[in-house]
Amino acid sequence: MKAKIHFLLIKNTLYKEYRNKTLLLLFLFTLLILWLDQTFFDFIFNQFFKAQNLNLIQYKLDLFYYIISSWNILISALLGVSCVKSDRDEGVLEGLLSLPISRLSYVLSRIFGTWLIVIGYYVLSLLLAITVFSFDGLQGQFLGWPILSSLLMSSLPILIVITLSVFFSLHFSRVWALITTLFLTGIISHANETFSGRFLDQIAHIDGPYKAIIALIHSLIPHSGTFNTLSKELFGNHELTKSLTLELFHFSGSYTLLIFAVMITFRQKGP
Amino acid sequence: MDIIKVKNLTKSYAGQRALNNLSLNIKKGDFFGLLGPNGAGKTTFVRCLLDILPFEHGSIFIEEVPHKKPQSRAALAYLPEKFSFYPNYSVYQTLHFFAGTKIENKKEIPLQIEKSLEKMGILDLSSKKIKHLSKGQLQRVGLAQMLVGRPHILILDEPFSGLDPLLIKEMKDLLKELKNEGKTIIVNSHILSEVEIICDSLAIIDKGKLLAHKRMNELDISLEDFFCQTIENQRGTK
Repeated sequence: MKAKIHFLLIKNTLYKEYRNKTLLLLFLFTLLILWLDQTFFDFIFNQFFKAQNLNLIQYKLDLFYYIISSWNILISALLGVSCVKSDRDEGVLEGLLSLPISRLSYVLSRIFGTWLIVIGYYVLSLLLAITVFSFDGLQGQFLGWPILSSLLMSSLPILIVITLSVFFSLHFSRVWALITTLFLTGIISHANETFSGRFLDQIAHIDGPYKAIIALIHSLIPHSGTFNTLSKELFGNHELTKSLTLELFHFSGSYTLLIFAVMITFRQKGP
Repeated sequence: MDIIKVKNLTKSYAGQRALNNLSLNIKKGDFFGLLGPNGAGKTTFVRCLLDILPFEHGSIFIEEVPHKKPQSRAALAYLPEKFSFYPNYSVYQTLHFFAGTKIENKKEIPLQIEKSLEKMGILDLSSKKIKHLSKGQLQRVGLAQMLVGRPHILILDEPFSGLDPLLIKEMKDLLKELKNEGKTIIVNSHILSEVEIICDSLAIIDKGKLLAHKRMNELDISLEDFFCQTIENQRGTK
């Protein structure tokens, strides 16, 4: 019965968002960007760089990757901000919490449901890209292990951003929660870039308050920036520059901490 | 037998006591009225009971199960003061969602939904979206969702507030019927006339304090008089 309620809540999360106009708009925008990526680069290449021996396909792929990953972060934050907050705003939360489900199960079902939507969006974007880039004979590159492993790796920063936005949506209005989440995601990426590969004893000897804050963020919050870097490396079929085992170990601890913070806030704020 | 046991319940909002060391037991099969003026702490009490709100001190047991455990709410149905659900859901989908969380046998779900829709006289609204319902219709949907899954404890927060006389009568008839079926019913209300005829026992609270907890047959004056006396005595002694 417990598993059934989980399933119902996840299904309910998907159903809640399936008519989300922002999502539809962003999808149309993705289509436009992909089309521009395809035609604009061809035009520039033919006009200015035809004589030079440039790898046009690599440029296209890099731009495509950048767009899709940025979009996913934005969509994760947008949907994450409303996944629990909309229940509260629409007065549904009280009824839902009276059901025989634990508060943790409710929050996790909402987060997981939202995560599935963003992953679905990601896969759809990839399918679109396969169609668009097939004109360049590129579809082979999209169907292999690099893209699948990259997708798996990208699912972690998506999960982190959704959870962060749920946390902030419990404190602030939707707009402020969105701004705070995106700002913090940027700071996390910067912190991960600065301190990645450094060990705790090195981080402990940091001077200056700014670096100390960045080090604290790097230590306590899941490394969304590092996972994005790893995902990009997998996408480009490059060798990984960070230890995946260590990163997953840090993720399991810091994500549990993040969920703990979300649950404390959720219980304190009430319906 | 006591189906709900509440002991020394204390809850504060920003340092202000909303529930002050409140203890009471509710008997199985009773129609229990929790009465009090606006802001007395009635809704806070219900929310604590359902583990929707955390509290500082005290304990709650529902059918001997600590209230924090989800299974304490397995045989329970709740109607908030303003029932609401996702605007794009149809009435049927709404009931299907609630039924799905309470009924294990899949085949039984449509049967129970139809039965409760019929009972509430809203079978014709089954495909209508929540966003297109009037307040009265929405309240009927709220009542219908309570009935699916055949719960034996029903909690209603201010069920008569804002309803037209026709729906109030229907609501009272339905509650009487459910009481006769042996269900335990807890009603939060500040409208005394509506609960007087159907209540078996009552508690009066004000400013989070339990002022009286009696069986209806113990009252030798009208409920209204008893209520006013109790509140005035409490406020006069301060």
